[in-house]
Amino acid sequence: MSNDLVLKRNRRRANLKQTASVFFGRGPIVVISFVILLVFLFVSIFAQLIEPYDPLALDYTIDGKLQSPSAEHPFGTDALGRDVLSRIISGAQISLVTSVLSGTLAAVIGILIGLIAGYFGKVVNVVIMRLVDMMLSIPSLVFAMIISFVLQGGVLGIVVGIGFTMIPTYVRMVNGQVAALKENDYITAAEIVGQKKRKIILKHLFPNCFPSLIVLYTMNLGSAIMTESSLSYLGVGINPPQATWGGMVADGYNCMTTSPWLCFLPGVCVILVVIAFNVVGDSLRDALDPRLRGKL
Amino acid sequence: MFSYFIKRLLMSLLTLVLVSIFAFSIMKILPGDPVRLALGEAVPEEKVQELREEYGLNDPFFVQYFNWVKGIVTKWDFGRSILTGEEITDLIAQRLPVTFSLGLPAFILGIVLGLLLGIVSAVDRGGIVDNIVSFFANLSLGVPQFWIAVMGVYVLSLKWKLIPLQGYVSPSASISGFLSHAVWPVICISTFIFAVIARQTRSNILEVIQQDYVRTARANGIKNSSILFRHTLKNALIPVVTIIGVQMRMLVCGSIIIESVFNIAGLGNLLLRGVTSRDYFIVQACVLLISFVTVIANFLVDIAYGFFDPRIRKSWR
Repeated sequence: MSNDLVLKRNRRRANLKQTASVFFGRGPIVVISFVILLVFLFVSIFAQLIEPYDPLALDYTIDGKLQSPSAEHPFGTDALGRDVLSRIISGAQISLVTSVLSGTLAAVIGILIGLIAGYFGKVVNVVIMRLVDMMLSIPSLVFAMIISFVLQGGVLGIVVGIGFTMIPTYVRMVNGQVAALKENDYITAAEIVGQKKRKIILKHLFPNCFPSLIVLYTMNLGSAIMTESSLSYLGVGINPPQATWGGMVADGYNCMTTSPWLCFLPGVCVILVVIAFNVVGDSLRDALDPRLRGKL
Repeated sequence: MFSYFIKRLLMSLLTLVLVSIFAFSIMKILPGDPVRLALGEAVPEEKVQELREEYGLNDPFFVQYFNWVKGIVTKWDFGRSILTGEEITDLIAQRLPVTFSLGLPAFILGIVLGLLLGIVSAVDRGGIVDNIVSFFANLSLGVPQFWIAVMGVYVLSLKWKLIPLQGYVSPSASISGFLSHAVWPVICISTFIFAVIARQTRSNILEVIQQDYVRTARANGIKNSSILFRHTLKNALIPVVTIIGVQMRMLVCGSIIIESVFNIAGLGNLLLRGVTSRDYFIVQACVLLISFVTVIANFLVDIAYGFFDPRIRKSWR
C-alpha cells in the first residue's frame, strides 16, 4: 500500500473518531437513545423470531382475554386475547418499515427536486416553490390521510402519504443550500471546463448538502413514526388486524377501566423511539455541522 | 409596504388556487366511481347514474371544478354529502365554532406559555428552570397527542373523577360545562405548539445575546433588564413570529386527533368521517377550508413580519 493511501486512511479514521467523540460526548442521554434505537432495530428485523406468540392469534375464552401481565404473557393480553408483547414487537416492525420507506421516498424525491430548483433557479425555482407552499398549507396529517385514502390504505398508501408530507422540508433545505453553493468559484470553474449539468449537480452540489441531509433524515424517521401511529390511532392508517402502536392504543381505549396497560405500553414505545430519534438527530447535527444548531 | 402587501396577497391567492385544484383533482384520481364507493355494491346501477347526473359528475373535469369553485365563491356553497345528502355548508357551520372554541384557546395557551417559558429558560441558561423547561419541551415533541389525551382521561376522569369522560358542551349553553369538558382537550392540543415555540424562543434569544451590539450595550453599563427587553427580545422574537404561521398546521393536526379521542363533533371529526365513509365531497370541502385558514394565518404573519422588520420588505422588492 502506498504511503499516500495510508495517510488518507488515517485521516479518515481520525475524522470518524472526532465525529464519534462529539456525538457521544453530549452525555449519557445520547448513549441511551442510541441503545434504544439499536434495540428497536434489532427487534423489528427479527420480529418474527422474537415474538413469543402469534400476534394475530385470538383467544376468546373468558380466561384468555384481558389477562393481566404474568409470566406467560409479560404484557398481558388484549380484548381479543392476543398477546400484547407479540403485538408490540410486530408493531415495532411495521413502524420501522413505514418510517424508513417513507423517509427514503421523501429524501430521494425531495433532494432531486431541491437540487433542480436550486441549480436552475428562476422560473423553475418559482414554480417548484409555489407547489411547496401549497403542500405546506395542507396540514401533514390531512395530507397523509387523503393520499393514503386515494391509494386505498394499506402499507403502500401510508408510506406514500407520509412520504409526501416530508418532501417540502427537503426541497426547501436543499434549494437554499444549493442556491448558496452555486455562487462558489469551483462551480463556475466546472461550468467553464464544460462539465455536464447532471455531473455538476450530483458530484459537486449534492455531496456538500450531505451533513444536513443526514440530520434531517434521522429526525424525519421519528416524525414518520409519530404520524404513522396517529393515523393508525384514527383508524385511517394500516388496516387491522395488523398490529400497530397507534391502533393498539385505540383498541385499548375501550377497555381502559379494567386494563389500562393496553393503552399505556404502546404509547411508551412510540415516545421512546421518537425521542431517541430526536436526540440522535440533535447530536448528529452537532457532530457533523455545528453551524446548523438552532436551524434544524 | 404597499407593494409588499400586494405581492404577499397575490402569492396567498395563488396558493389557494393551487390547493383547490389539488383538493379537487386528488379525489378524481381515486379509482372507481365515487358514488358507487360511497353507496356500496348493493345499490342498483340506475340509482348510481341518477346520482351522478344530479351531482354533475358526468360533466367534463374543468366544468366540474369551475362549478365547485363558483358555488363556494358566490354562494358559500360546498355542495352536498354523497351519503346523506346533507348540505356541507350547514355541516361546516355547525362544526367550525366547536373546533374554533377549542383550537383558539389551545393556540393562545401554547404560544403564551411557549414564549414565557422560552424567555425564562434562556435567561436562566443552564439553571434548574432551564433544565425543567427544556426537558418538558423535548418530551412534548416525542409524546403522541392521542396518547397523552387517553392517559389524561384515565387519570383525571376515571381515577380522580375531576373531568367528564368525553364529549363537548357549547360555551353558550353552559360556561362551566364548557370549561370542564374543554380543559384537557385544550391542553392536549397545545403541547406541540408550546414545545416548538419554547425551543425556538430559547435558541433565538441565546443567539441574539451573543451579538456584538448586546455586548456593547453591556459594556456601556445598561441595566440587564433593559438589555433583555429592549435589545435582545425585540430582535429574538421576530423570527418566532414566522413559525407561528407554521403552528396553524399543528393546531389542525392536534384538533383532528383530540376531537377523535374525546368524540367531539368538530371539523376534524367531519374530515375523518368523510375519509372513512369515502364521502369525497366532504373531504374536498374540509381540505379546502383547512388550507384556507392556514393560508390566511400565514398571510397575516407575513404582513406582521414585514411590518416589524423592514429588511424583509426590502428583500421582496
